Amino acid sequence: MPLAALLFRLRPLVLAGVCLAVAAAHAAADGLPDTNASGVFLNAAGDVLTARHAVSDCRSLFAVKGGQVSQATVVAASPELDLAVLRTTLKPYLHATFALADAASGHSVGVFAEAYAVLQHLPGRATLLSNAMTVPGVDGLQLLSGVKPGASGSAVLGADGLLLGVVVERVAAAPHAQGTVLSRAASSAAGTVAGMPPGMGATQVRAVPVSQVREFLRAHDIAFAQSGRPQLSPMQSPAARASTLSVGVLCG
Amino acid sequence: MNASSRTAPRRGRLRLALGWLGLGLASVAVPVAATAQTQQPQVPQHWISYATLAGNQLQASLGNPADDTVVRLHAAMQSRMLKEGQSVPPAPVVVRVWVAPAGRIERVAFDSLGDAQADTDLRTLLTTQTLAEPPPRDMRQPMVLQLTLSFVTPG
Repeated sequence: MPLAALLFRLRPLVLAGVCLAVAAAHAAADGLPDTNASGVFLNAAGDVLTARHAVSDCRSLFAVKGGQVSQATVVAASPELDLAVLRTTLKPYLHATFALADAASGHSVGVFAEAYAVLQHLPGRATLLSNAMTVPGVDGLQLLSGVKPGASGSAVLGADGLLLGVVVERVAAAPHAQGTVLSRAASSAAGTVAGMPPGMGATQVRAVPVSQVREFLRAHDIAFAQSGRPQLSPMQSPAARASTLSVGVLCG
Repeated sequence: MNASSRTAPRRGRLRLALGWLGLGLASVAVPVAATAQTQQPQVPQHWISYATLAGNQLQASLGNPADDTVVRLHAAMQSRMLKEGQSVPPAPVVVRVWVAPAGRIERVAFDSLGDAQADTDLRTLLTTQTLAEPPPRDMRQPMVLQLTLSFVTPG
């Protein structure tokens, strides 16, 4: 890492100091960073893919990774897909590799999707192989998942470590009900959650499938990688990889 | 212009340039044991992916200006270049890295940097790391990484 580059990257960290202090105060209650939502590294430049609803109407916007905080700006957004791309100064260890095809729709497969804040403290992360199942026979990509608040923008990883989609909302159980977002309410210091009670078990969530994500990124000329080759061996943990790829999103 | 006034500005420029000297991992190589085997022409992608992760994480830690050991190592490398009168960065340093099942770097091996303290500092920086992920169980070790010194211009 060039020293000069690091020094220049420190500048936004200083600017983020006040906001971080707020986040730290919130984190004291549950031991987790109080990020509103999640994202996934798209490329080596540090662009982050997330859910649009999680980054709209923010007075300040930051991306968080480990001990690093970067100011973030929205460089692409799709209201239709509920996707957005953030430009950050974060330097990823790895970025996502997109699957060449969407997850099979005819049968259920094990996948992994979880919020950034949860991933940072997830017990047994290094050995966890799956925490969600795809729902067969539905349009797009839906998961039966126990994702926690803040999961909007989370990557959906297959067992091979390839990106299959991005979580955007909880799907209502009742036919007449509307879907609800999975980002935290930005104005609530107590961690009130939009549409999802604390401690809720498995629920059905909707993700934007990789094919649509790919089209969105191409339309905005944003770099990403795709491959048909597994990024993980059969016994490697997608949870650990998800943690590596995951980014916290803080919308103030 | 006398000799001293001619040389002083040159040293100044040199110090400035060296002040931006950064230590980084220019590239990451996959395990030598794997590449040497002709019957396995294609290195598994998940090995490459893991080696990339390891290289980038170590690169970040070796470029951390807030770490006193990093600063001392950089200073030692700068001194070495001044002492040897080099105008270009030294040859890359090849480091072999062994990673424990939990992801902790448990052993490294590299040719001496020419300074005992620098050797100790590099070894310390590398072996105090726990990588973000455990290594693939089937990945042959050590990983072979290449450290390259490069000039970095401000701005």
